[in-house]
Amino acid sequence: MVIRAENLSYTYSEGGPFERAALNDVSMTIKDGEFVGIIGHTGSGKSTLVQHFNGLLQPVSGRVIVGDIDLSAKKADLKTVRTKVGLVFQYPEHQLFEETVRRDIAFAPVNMGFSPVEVNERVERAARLVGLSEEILDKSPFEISGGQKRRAAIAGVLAMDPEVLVLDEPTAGLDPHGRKEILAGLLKLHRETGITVILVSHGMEDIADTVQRLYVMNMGRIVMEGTPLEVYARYEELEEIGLTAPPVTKLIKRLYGADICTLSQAKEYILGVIGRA
Amino acid sequence: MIKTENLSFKYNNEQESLVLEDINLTIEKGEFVAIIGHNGSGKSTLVKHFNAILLPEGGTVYVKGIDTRDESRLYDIRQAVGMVFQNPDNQLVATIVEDDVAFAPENLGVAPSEIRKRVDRSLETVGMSEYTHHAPHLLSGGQKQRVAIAGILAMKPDCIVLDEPTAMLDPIGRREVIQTLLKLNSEEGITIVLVTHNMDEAVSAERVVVLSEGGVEMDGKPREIFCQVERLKALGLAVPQITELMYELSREGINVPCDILTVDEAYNALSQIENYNKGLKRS
Ligand SMILES: Nc1ncnc2c1ncn2[C@@H]1O[C@H](COP(=O)(O)OP(=O)(O)OP(=O)(O)O)[C@@H](O)[C@H]1O
Ligand SMILES: [Mg+2]
Repeated sequence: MVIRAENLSYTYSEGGPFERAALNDVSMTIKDGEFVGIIGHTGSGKSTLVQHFNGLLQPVSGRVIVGDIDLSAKKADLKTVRTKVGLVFQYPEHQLFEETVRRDIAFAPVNMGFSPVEVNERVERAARLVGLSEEILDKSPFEISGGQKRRAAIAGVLAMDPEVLVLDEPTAGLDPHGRKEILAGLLKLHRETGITVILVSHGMEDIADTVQRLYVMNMGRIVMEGTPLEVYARYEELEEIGLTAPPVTKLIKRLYGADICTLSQAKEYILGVIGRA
Repeated sequence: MIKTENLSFKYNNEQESLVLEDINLTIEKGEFVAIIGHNGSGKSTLVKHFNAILLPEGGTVYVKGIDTRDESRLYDIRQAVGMVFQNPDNQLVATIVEDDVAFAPENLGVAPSEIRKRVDRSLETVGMSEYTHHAPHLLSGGQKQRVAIAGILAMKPDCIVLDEPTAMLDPIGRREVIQTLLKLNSEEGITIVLVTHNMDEAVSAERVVVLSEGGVEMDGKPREIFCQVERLKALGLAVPQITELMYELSREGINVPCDILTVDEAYNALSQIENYNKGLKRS
C-alpha cells in the first residue's frame, strides 16, 4: 500500500496561546513494501506525521492518501484505514488494558471478527515475533516489566496483520538483545510478507541497521532524505539539529574520511585498510 | 549510603520464583553507579527498594543506616533518596515549571522563602533557569527530565535514583540528562544510581552492576565489565558499539586493546597501528 503526503501542514491548538506548527508543508511518498525510517529530535513532528497515516489525525491542510483512500475527504473510511495501517504508539504501555497479555494481543483480531482458532494463531505468531513466552502471555499486563509491556503492545498491533506497520520508538526500554530481536523480527516479517514498515526512532544504530530509506525531520519539515549511508554521511548537519550518527560512522570519518554507517561496514573498511598496508 | 543484605523479594505468592534473590549490594556516598540487565531482570524492583516504595520480603535494606522497614523514618528515607522515572510526561504535575519544582518541598511544609531559594538553585543546577515560568508540557523530553531532577534536588537529597530516565529521549536530550547527572555527582557530591539499557550511558558511570534473573551477576568498573563481550551477550546485553568493533577486529587478528569504550580511544588505537604499519613500509 502506497502512503502519500502532499503539502501536509498541522498546527496544535490553533489560535490558542500555545499555537505551534507541528508539520509544515510535508510531502513524501512511501512505496508499497518499503522499509523506511523517520528520525528527528523530540517535537520535530514525527509522531504528528505518522498519526496522519492511520487516520488518528485528519489532514487540516494538505492531503494524505493511503492506498486508494484519500484521508482528506470528509467521509474517508477511517475504519478500514485503521485495520490496514497498524500504529504502535510511542508509549505503548498505555495501549494495554485487558486482564491478560494474551487477551490484550487478541483484542484487535477478536474485534475484526476472526474465529477463535484464527485469533489464537495470530496471537501465537505475534508473540513469537516479539519474543514473549507462554508464561508472560498468561500474566496481567500490570504485572510485567517495562520491556515486556512494550513487546506486548507491538504484538497487539502485529496480530491485526496490517498491510502497513508504523512503529513510533518501538525499541525504547528494550534490552539490547530484545532490541535486536524486534528489529530482526521486523526485517523477517518485511522480507517474508512484503509489508510496508515505517520506523520512527532515536536509535541511530537501529535505523542504520534496518531501513532502506530515511527521512530526517526538523521543526515540522523534512530536511533530508536518502539511504542511511547518504544521510549519516552528513552527520555534522545532523548534530546541528539535535541528532547524531552511529559512533562507527564518526570513527571511520575521522580516521579515513570515508562514509559507512554499520558495524560490519566499519569492520570491512578497517580490515581493508590495515590489510592493504 | 545504600546497603542491601540478602535482599529477596517477590510481588505475590503466585510467583513461583523470586524476583530478587539474595542481593548484597553496597552503594557508597558519592558513587555513580549504573545498573544494567535484561528486561525483567529485576532492576526496577531493586531500585524501588532504595526509597521504600517496596519493602524486602527477606533480608534488609538500609538507607543511610536506616532500615527501610522502619515506618517512622519513611520521611527521612524519601528525603534522602529521590526517584526519577522513564516517562517525563507522567512526572510533572503543575502547569508552571517553578510550581512543579516547588511541589515536594511545599508538601513537606518547608518555609516559602526557603522554597524560593531551593527552586531557583535547583533549576540553575540543571540548567533550566530560563524556563522557570514556562509550561512543562511545551518542553522537550530532555528538558522535562531535567525539571523532574530539579524537583528532586529541591528536597536536598543525598542520592538520586533514575529508572531509565533517557529511554524516551532523543540523542541531545540524553546527553543533557547524562551531563546533568555527571555534574550533580562531581560538583554536589550527590550519589547517582542510573538504570539504563544504553551501554554508552553506562560507560559514564564509575561502576556498573549487572543484574540477571534477579541476582547480581557482575559488578565492576565499566572497562572491566565491557571487555567481557561474550558474557554480556549471553546475558542478553551488549557493549558500546565501538567496543564491539574493537572486539570484532581483535578476532580477525588485529592487535587492538579490547577495553576501548569511546570513539576517541578507538581513533588513537587505530591511528597507532596505521603509523606503525607505515613505519614498517618505509624501513
Ligand atoms: N507489579 C508486579 N506484579 C507482579 N510481578 C511483577 C510486577 N512488576 C514486575 N513484575 C515481574 O518481576 C520481574 C522483574 O521486573 P522488573 O520490572 O523489576 O524488571 P526490570 O529489570 O526493571 O525490567 P525492564 O528492563 O523491562 O524495565 C519480571 O519478571 C516482571 O514480570
Ligand atoms: Mg524496569
